[in-house]
Amino acid sequence: MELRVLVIDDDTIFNLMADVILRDLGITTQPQCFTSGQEALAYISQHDHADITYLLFLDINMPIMTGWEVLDCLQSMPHHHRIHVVIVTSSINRADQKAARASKFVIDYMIKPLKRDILATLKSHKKIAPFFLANN
Amino acid sequence: MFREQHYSDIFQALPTPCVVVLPNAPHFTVINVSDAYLEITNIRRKDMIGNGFFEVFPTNPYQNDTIWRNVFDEVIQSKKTCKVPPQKYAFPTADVPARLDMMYLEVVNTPVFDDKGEIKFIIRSMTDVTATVHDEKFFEETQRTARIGSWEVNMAHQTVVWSEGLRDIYEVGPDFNPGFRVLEEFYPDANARRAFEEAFVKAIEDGNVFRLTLPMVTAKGNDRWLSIVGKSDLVGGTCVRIYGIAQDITDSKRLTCLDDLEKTVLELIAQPNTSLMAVLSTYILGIEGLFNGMYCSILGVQNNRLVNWVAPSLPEVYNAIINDIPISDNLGSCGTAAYRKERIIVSDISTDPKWANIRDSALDHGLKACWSQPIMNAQGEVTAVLGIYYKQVRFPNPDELIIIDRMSALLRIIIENRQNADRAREAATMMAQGQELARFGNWQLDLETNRHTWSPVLCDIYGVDPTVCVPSYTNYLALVHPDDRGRVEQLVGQIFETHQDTVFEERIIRPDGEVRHLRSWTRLVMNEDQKPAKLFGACLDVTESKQAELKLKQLHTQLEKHLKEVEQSEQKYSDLFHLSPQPMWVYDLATYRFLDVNAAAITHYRYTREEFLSMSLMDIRPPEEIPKLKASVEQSRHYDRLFFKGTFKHRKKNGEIIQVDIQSNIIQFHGRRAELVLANDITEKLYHIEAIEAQNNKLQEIAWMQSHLVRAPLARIMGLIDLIQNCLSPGIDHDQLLRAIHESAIELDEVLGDITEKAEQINLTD
Repeated sequence: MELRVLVIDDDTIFNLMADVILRDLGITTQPQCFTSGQEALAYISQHDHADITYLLFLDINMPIMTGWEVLDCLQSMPHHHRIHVVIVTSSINRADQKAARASKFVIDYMIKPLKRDILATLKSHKKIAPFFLANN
Repeated sequence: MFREQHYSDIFQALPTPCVVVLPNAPHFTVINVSDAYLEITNIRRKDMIGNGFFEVFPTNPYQNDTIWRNVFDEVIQSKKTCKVPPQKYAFPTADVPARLDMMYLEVVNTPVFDDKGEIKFIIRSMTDVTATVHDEKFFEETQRTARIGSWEVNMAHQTVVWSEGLRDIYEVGPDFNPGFRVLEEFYPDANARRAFEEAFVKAIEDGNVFRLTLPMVTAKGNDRWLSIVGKSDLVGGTCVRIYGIAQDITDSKRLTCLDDLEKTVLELIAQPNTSLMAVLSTYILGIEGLFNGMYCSILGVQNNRLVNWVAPSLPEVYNAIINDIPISDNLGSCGTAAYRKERIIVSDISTDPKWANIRDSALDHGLKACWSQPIMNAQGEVTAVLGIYYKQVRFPNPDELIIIDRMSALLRIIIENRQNADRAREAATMMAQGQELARFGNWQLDLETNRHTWSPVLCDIYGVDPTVCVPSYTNYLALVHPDDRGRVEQLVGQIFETHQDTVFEERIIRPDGEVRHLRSWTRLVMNEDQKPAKLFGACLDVTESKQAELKLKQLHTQLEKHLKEVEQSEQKYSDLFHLSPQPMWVYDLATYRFLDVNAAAITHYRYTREEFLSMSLMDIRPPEEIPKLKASVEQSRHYDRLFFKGTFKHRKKNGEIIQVDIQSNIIQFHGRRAELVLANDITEKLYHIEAIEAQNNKLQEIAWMQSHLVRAPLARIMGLIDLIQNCLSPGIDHDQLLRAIHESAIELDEVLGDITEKAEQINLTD
């Protein structure tokens, strides 16, 4: 059982920061970063195993394909019950938050920049907690 | 018994015709009859004995039925032997019963008394005087036939010769010597004499034919009319003789005069203004002029009494005596005639029992005979009696009886006509008041008897007890309100002067103190002689209506006040509509037409009032809005009190489209279902709203921008700094991170600049 973590954000610097923090906190050893939703979706469809559970860190505000659109596309994917999304956005708009949590994929909503203590708490989220018991 | 039979045999053998009857009027049963009687009358004994006299002889063709049936009256009344002057009788002949033998008989009715002095039976005996009468009759006949006679006056010898015929006409005997004094002897009429003299004188002068029609009196005192034609013979200018003929034209003349008189009288009746008495008087005088020696009177029937109407030639004193006598049997000819409703002939007042009581009054004035004819109306009631008096004992001949019939027929017409006219007039008067009389109190004053009558309703109105209060003028005045008394007295007095109907209002005070208002009518009615006879009056209690009148006046004043207030309030409401700063109008729900529009609407839409009133709702809409309009009006039509609100596009006169907020209510406007509309031009407002909404959108954009575009570089900077501070990963280049921080900061700056720009843009909207 593998938890594969994807970071989807059009900001490369953010992706860089996310990569460092995620490793640092032990959430994943190999985060995959994508700068567009399409790329991420393509990767998921190509690497779809019954053993793999995906954890996505998804930005909302992206050109070409927004985070909302990605969520919509995930809906039509097979095995989508094995996809969990954490919305990461710089928006402090409450409406966005509400809309995000409404989606069944979304397990959390974070505001940039990513904070270590919040990420740490994520590890105990019931959907993904089983993957971290062994590690820590 | 034996003796009776003996007497009976003798009686039957008597040469004089006799019949014995019982005095049992009106049958007069025959108990015995002589053979001579049977012979004359040609009746069998058995047909007479035991039957009533008038059964055997119901009529006498030469006598009036009434007179015939009364043949025994005299003897019964007077209880004395009565001699009936020779009368014509007719009996069937022995051989040919159809043929009648005419004879003159003198009849004697002899009463036979019993011990008590009552009449046991009457012996009626007759003497045949035919022969004697014939001689006398001969003269009468010849008088009738001898209608023309001739005469001659010899001027030379101063002699006058009359023919036989002329003597007959003049009714002079053979030894009568006609002389020049003929005028005075036979022509009592002064005018006749003068005419005669003039004609004669003229004839002597010019020898022409003259014609005269003159009334004369014969030697026997009979009135005649003669038509005289005469001519004179002139020799050498001197008249030697005058001769001519005279014709008795009495009958035709009299008939002509009678016709004329009747015509005159009928014309008089036709004129409504002539009084009955005047007409009757004219008629009587005319009759008396035609029949010399006749004195006529007409008595009217009133309350079952005979009242003197006209008797122009009878003495006043006598008229006074027979005035107002009760109608009863055997009270003079007139009284009896009215009572029995049949003609009564009394040829001799001195002997007739009917005149027993008042005989002397008549005889004192030289009245010796009286013939009375009752005048009946259509219902068979006696309305008047015609009385014909003579100063001689006289029995009417058949001609005179015919005259009496003729007179009575005409009198009947005259009287009925007049009475109907009077009755009609009275009825009309009554009827005019009749319907109202039911609620009127009415009173009557008979001025002749001074009798007052107050009707029960009147007593009611006056509030007096009819059994206690005596109707009188004084009592009435006492009831009149003191303030009105003077005026009332004056009005009543005026009636007698003006004879005009009077209407007036008065107040009375009832005995219990209550004041009532009355409306009173009074009328003066005249009698035949145009003298006041009766005063009629009626009055109506109008108190309630008078009070109602006053109340009505009050109400009227109040109403006027209210109306003023309503007017003012209406004005206020009118002002509300017309002076409202918001455009308002009223339109007809059925036709969409504008019914009224206020000043604000006129100003706003730029149409004049006249234009508006000729327009309909469609005209202030842009065409595309009309379906919407129709739909909303349809809604209004279905509801009664609908407050409607909605926004519509309207079009002003200049074509400008405006947005209008409509508020309306259903009302009744001058009888039509209409809608009152308040129009609020919200074009500006909407524009402002749009502007504000645009602003809002901008602000929302800003807010979004702030949350996304601003924050993103900031979040990046924060993350990077954190990374620099805390992450000691070797793969990370600090320079790279610092450069990233610098770029983010610049990005942030740019975004802020954008925002400011956008914010400035908001203020520019207008």
